[in-house]
Amino acid sequence: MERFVCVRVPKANAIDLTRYQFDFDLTFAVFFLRADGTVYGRYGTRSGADNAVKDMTIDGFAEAMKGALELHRKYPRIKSLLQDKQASQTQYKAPGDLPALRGKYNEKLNYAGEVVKSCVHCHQIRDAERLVFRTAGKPIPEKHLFPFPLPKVLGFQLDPETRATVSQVDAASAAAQAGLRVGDRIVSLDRQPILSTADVQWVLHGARESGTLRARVARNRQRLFVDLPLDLGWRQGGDISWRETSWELRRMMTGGLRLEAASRKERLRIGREATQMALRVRHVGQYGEYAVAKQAGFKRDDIVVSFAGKDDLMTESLLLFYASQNSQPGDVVPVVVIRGDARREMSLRLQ
Amino acid sequence: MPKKSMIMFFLCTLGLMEIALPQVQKERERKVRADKQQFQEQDFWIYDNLEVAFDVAAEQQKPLLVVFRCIP
Repeated sequence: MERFVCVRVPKANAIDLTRYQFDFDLTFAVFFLRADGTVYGRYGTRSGADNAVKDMTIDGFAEAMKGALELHRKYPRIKSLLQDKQASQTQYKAPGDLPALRGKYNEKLNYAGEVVKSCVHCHQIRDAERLVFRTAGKPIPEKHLFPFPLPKVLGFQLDPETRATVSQVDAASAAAQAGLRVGDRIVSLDRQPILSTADVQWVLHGARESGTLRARVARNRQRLFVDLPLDLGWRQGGDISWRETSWELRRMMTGGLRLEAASRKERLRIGREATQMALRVRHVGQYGEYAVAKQAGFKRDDIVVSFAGKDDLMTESLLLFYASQNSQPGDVVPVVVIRGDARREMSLRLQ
Repeated sequence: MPKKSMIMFFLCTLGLMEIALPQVQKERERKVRADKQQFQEQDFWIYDNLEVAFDVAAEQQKPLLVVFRCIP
């Protein structure tokens, strides 16, 4: 650590959004930078709600730090490889420029008063970005709905004890099709040097909607290229249900309902096959704009089998995605639920 | 449940919420302040000042390690 200048930032007020693009649903995220602002890499990954740090390890962090020091030593020879490590431009330079946050926060935290309330929390940035599209009546882009995709979306996982060594490849996945193997060490992706899973996520975050991504991997003593295919809609396989930012999406798209896939037992009880839509209401928002579904009569444990005429939305993430692409604030959509043994046709006003 | 008991239960629940919510907020306030104190006491860390950190990094020709930490 003493080989770095270490700085701890407890807020997102006034951060430079061109330089500091990261997964805003994290509570711990690291940047390795050069004093001229060049980004060497990132560290910090989260894949679920149950444990905020299971995807991060001391060994993995140490490996990322070593990698950053290597890049620092090699600079400026590797300068051209680092140019895509940060956004070339962003529509909003700082969080305070986003309409939903404008004029509400100062640059500095208010330690003399209510310090927490004076803080722009990182997830508010993503919320505010999505709101720009929603309030304009435009579909929220996939990149904003499925930010910082995990490698799993392409069918592979990385060992968190390492920089980026492949620990699992799913059969019949894009990764398997490309020939990626367990034990492969991803050295670079789309020409960017990789220090961590977060670096892989950054490349995926900025990747095209379809095409291929070239990975340079070390396998035994060989270095070889693996071209990962990106099929249209590849981001949609991601799970966003654990994200803090999904609460705001739920407000807009489900009136405050939190949904999860019905269990096998529940499916058996209501006679739904595993291939049929069945999303159980896990939580009904109780207050303000999060209580729209409650006011419409939805109840916990209702099973949603159709939403806005669609009966193939198999996950909450896909339902949020579909609604965000095909509705506008104020739309009223039909929703069919099974409550107990009865089928009920209901209406839900989206926001 | 008799109506009177129901009203009492409702009022007690409301009362508990009123106590509980500020306590959660207070706890978070305490954590944020404690974080600042803890890291400011260590010479090793620059706390919440990216400008100074970049200056130091340029002067010492070291890379920066910037931690964004949202205190839950």
